[in-house]
Amino acid sequence: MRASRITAAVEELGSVDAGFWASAASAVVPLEPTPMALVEAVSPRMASRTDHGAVRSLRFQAVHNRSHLAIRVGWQMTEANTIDDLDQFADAVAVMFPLHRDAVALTMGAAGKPVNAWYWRAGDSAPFDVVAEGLGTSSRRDSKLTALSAQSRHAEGAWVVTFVRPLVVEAEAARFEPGVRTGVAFSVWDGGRAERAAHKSSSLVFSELELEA
Amino acid sequence: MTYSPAGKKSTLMTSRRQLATVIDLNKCLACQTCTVACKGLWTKHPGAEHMRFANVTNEPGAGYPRQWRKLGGGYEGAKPRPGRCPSLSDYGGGPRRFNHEQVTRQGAGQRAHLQLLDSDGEPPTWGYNWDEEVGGGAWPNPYYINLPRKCNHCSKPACVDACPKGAIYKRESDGIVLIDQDRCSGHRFCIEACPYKAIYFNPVTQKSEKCIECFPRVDQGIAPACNRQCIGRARHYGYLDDESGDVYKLVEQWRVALPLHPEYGTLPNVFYVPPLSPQAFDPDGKLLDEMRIPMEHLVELFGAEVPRVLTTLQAEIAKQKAGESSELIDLLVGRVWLDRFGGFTGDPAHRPGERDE
Ligand code: SF4
Ligand code: SF4
Repeated sequence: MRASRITAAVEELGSVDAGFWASAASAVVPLEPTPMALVEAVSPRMASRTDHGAVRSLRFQAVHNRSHLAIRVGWQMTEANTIDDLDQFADAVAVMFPLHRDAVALTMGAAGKPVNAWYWRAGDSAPFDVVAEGLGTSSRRDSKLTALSAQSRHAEGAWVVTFVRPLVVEAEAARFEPGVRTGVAFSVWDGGRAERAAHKSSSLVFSELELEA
Repeated sequence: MTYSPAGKKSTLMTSRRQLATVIDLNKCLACQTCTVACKGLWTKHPGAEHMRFANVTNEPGAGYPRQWRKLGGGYEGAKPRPGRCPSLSDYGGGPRRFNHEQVTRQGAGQRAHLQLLDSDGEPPTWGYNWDEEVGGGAWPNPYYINLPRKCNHCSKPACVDACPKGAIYKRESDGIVLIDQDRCSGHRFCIEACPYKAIYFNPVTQKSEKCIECFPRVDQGIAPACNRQCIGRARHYGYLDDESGDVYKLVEQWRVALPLHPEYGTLPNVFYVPPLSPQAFDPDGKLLDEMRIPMEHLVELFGAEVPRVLTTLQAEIAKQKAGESSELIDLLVGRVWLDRFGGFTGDPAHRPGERDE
């Protein structure tokens, strides 16, 4: 997968409707239910339920302008789900990058092999920047820490979400460089089916993402 | 080991000692002082309006949150029993308001009367303790039981077991179950897991909250507010293994205090002395030699030990009436108020060490 280099202002990069998305390359990423055997130790209760993972694909696009990377993802979701009551859950999406060359996407990294993710949830005012070193260890950080922003739109039975972040930030987080490849993985949560945590659809492995030089 | 967020599940779930509460249902008068004592201390912040870590409802009845027993959680044998989260309306909805505006300013004073309205502006149809004193049983033998509840700080806490973030843990020193607000992601597996529905979702912080057993007081030797403020003197407090304390004597020695719904499998640490009944009437109004509260109902609540406990209570009452002394009845009566708190006798109105002159 590729993030083409374009000329655009940062504000424009984050727009879900910006004109350049129409011509940007797109990839369809297959998603699968996260295998519950993985989470038996962190939550036997979560592991005992296996009706998750209904969303089976996600459309991915990416561009950069030498200073910022923008990622646009879209997936089918008939109704938008937000936390409007105490028993409701929200739709969400996360884009994850390795912070260590041997980090595994399926387990969200491991001790000493961290991963970094951008997490957007319907109804929230800002996304979260997440770091993790294995399932159950994820920690949500204020998006201001990495100047991460997100925009979203739900229309015609589908979500479109864009994330924008500077290529390089000071905090411990993914770093991007034109001409260099990194890994990228995805997760989608269907709030209508009470999906959260490891109850989700996920790409299971990192795919390669190259930023155009 | 002390709490570490990445700690092993088994470590997070165990403690060296255990604090426990005993509530004598023969003495609870449903005054709600415990509810209010708790509310005023811990759930006045935004998003906590619907929360009552301590609450008292009637049995039989829908309880709080509404029909909590039908929402699942706990264990079936070794396996987690599926559970659901209550909705806001199950707690009685958001804060209510009077229609002052309508009555005083909209010229509707002759048509509208002053009334309390739900957060959606409608007259309420459900609320906290809505079915108070409705109870069960048919004339001439209606009955109800006052049932005060709070988190049981269980010895097999399903909430800790369920949290995928390792955000919930038992304090190693005393078994108090706490949610680390920095770790909580608001996933609510704990709410599904708790068969007593003693965990509450805060929609403002998007995190879960629960009874903290007044740990900042406990750490200074002061009993939790619900226990200390109880005007019915229905509550006893202390370490389960403190042989000199009321809790040990009532739970372990006299074995007259039982956990609520032991079949849920979480090993609760709030124990109840089951209520004796007034005698039942026959249809002609003659007193029968039968209990007004059906034994099956008490067994459903507190398990198969209830008949044995009631027999013990009756025997000890008879002894006392016959002029002999009964250690058990003395314990339950508790002539010296502070004796019932297992050494947690500090006064919250004074600084630690300061004497009440
Ligand atoms: S009563 Fe519920 S919240 Fe409290 S410790 Fe037991 S399972 Fe956890
Ligand atoms: S304060 Fe005591 S008597 Fe009053 S409702 Fe609570 S437990 Fe019952």
